[in-house]
Amino acid sequence: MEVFLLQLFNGLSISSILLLVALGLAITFGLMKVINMAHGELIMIGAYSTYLTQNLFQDYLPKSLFDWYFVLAVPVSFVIAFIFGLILEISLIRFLYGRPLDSLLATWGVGLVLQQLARSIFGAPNVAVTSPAWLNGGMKIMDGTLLPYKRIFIIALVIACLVSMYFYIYRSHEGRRMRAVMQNRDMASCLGVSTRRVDAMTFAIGSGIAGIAGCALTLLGPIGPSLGTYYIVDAFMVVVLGGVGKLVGTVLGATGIGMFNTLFEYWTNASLGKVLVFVCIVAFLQWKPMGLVAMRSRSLD
Amino acid sequence: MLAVQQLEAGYGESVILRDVSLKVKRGQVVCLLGRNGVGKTTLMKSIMGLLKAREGSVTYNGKDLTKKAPGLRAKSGIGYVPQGREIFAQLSVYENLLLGLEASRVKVSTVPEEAIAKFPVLPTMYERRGGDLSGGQQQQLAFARALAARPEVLLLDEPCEGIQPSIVDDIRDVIRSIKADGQTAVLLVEQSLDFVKSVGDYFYVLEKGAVVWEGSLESLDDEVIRKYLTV
Repeated sequence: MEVFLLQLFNGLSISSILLLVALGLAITFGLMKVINMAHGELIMIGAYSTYLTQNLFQDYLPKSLFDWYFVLAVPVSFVIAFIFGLILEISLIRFLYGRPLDSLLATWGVGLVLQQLARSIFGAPNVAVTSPAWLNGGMKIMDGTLLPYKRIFIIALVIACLVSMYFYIYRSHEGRRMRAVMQNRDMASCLGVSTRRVDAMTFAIGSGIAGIAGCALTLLGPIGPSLGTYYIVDAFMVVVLGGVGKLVGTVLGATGIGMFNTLFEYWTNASLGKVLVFVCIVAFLQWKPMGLVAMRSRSLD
Repeated sequence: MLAVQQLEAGYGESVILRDVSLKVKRGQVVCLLGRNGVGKTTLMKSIMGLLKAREGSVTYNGKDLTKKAPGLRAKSGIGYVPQGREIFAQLSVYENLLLGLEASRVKVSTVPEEAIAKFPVLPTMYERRGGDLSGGQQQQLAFARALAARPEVLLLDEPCEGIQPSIVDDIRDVIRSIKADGQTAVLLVEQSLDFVKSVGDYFYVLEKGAVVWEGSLESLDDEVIRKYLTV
């Protein structure tokens, strides 16, 4: 029972991290079809934004307030990554729509530049972000089973991100324009939607969510300039497995990979478990190349 | 109010339209006729701005729109019902209509009554996805979506293509009522001669990307039809 609960929680926790990392990509790659290799670096930017927020609190604010820096760090990471995303879209991505190979190379290059930029500013070694005291420790549900607050916080953060994304995409005016442009760009523009604005906003929001992911990753360990590269493959895998273009698919993809990863690692060991997960994904995509939640074809006509 | 002058347009290397000029006046229904592949849809697309004009100009109320993006043309009062309807399949019927408001020159948050009054079937389907509607229902939706912004010029590209006769009659009534209002001009592309004769005021015939004949309803006689339109 204990083991089962613990494994379930671990699976959920890994799923939540995967999902947070992949959510931004679900927008930039899933909706906009830009193969955004710089996604990992936008995560890294979010992580360093958190680091900067922490340092500012340490240096300029009374110690009693320090614990609350993290509450501010989440929006700060979002905004900084959002701005980077906006600059990237306006200066580069907008010339590369409909050219997947070019966008792959160009964003990869941007990723390398951003990594080097981080190395020049913050130095090559990893830096540590001190988690606020209220996230230390954990919830004890029975003997030997401790659910760390950090992990619970990340799960809650993912849910919050999902809910706000849902409302933005499916319930707001901006979201309606965004879905219209992504489905039928020409017709949307003929109705008076400014497609340039929608593109820029959509890419920037995807980047901003990558920033929030980076902020959450600071809770799990030290951060460095190449932080993003560890997560980029997983992020793409989640989006592709879930089915490109569907938010629900991304959630299912992340949960699937997270759960199976935990399960296989429990049955075998860490490296073999990972291999088994990859094998399963490859096999699944052979069977269903469109991913878990494929758009029904009739409505695409 | 809408004027096209010496327009030349095409896809890639090929030139589809050569030296096309036409005028659409307020309250008039102007029909564009011609066999398949003579450039009717291409002309509609260039007026809307989906295709860039290589030569010539598109002016609207004296304003030069030749270099403007489709969105700005829509906002200056041109409504477009494209061939194939182009409904947003994943969006609900109501969302499709709300998108029609984007080009509206007065800020409104609900779809104007007169846009949907002509299509009473639409309000019963607001929650359904656009892609689940039948062709005829989609056509009515595309019409209502274009009317939602209260356009001054309406571009209709084959609105009766593949539609059941009763809805064709509905569409004819809508075009007639627009004409009766006298506020909106219509540029209509349609294959059915009976249909265009029943609504049209002025006719242009295209052949090989150029205007080869123009005239009013009375002068559109059998000889013209035999020469340019029969297959």
